[in-house]
Amino acid sequence: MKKYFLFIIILLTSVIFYSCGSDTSTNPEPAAQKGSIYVTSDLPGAQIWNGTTNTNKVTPDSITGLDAGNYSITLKFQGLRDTTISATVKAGEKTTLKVKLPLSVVTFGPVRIWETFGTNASQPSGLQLSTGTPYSTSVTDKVDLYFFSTSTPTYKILTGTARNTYFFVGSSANLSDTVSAPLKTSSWKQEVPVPVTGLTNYIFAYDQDQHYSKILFAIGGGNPGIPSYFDVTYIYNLVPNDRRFK
Amino acid sequence: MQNKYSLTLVVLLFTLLFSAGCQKKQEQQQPQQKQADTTAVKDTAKKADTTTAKAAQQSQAADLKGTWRGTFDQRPTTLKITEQNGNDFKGNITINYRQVINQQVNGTFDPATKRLTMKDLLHSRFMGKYAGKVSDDMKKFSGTFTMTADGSKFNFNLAKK
Repeated sequence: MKKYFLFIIILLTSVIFYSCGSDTSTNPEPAAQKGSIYVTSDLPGAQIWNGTTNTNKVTPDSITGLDAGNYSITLKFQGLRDTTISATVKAGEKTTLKVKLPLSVVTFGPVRIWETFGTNASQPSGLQLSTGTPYSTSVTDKVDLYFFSTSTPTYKILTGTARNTYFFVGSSANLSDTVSAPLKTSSWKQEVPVPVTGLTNYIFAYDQDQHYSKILFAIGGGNPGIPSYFDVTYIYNLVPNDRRFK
Repeated sequence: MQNKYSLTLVVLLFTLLFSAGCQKKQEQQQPQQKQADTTAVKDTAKKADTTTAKAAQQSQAADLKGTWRGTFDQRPTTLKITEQNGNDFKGNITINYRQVINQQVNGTFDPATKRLTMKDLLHSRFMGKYAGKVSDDMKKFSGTFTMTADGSKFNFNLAKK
């Protein structure tokens, strides 16, 4: 009985050893020898190209199953120049690429917009953000925001009547501080009350075309014969949903 | 001789009678004169009384002191007249532009024409003169402000509260 039991043990052990040896021989290139590249960008959603091949992936994501070696990775984003970066893949390792995409912004201003109360057609109150052009508030398809006022006097920055713009008051007066806009959420408002002393900090705007702007309003006027006005200087991001300003 | 005395007596009598007649007539004329004089005095007094009353009325009506509220260039405005000496007055005006104007003013009121003029006293780019008319009931004051610097004009309408 003992002999039979020992025989069975030896047989099973042999089978197991045989199986292992068979796997190794049929897969001479183990998975551990492949590498990958993880690509992330400061503006998410860029297409990831491996050389001239579109991986059909967007940042942040990984290209896997790569042999060890050098790769040329290109990120494409509509409205921005392509960005190409070299990456070296080592067997069994993940290479991480953090790519800073180019910025596509334009600075406008100062553009003067006037309060609505007590002004005439030659003193427009509205502003089209994409072009930096002042318009009368009656040009509703152009106006993204305007300088509302009453005789009281009460002042506000308001969204256009036909084009929705949302505002978020920033924490600095330095337009060049490189701070990105926070993500537009429901906490963003369509009006900003303006004290008679004016606005100190810049304001982020998110317009109907999903562009972010960073706007500085310098108040003036407010005397007999000189209605109140804002000299508006701002950075307009040409890429929709790009919140970066650096 | 008797005739001579008789003639003298008759002449004397006539003279007396005539003299007496004249005196009566004079007495009758004097009250008329007196009456005329009294009427004249009365008329003068009456006239004087009327003038005084009118002056008093005007003087009373020309009380400009107090708070006048309304608009200046459509902006909320308050004029406070704090001192008045005859038809001259002093006060201050507040106009609610974004940069609020607080000006001291002085001016003059002409009761006869109801015209009121005043001017800003504090030096400012926006100082000027106000000219307008007060309503008959002395409750409203409206007119035009002219800026000294460039001559631009702005309307104002104020009502006494």
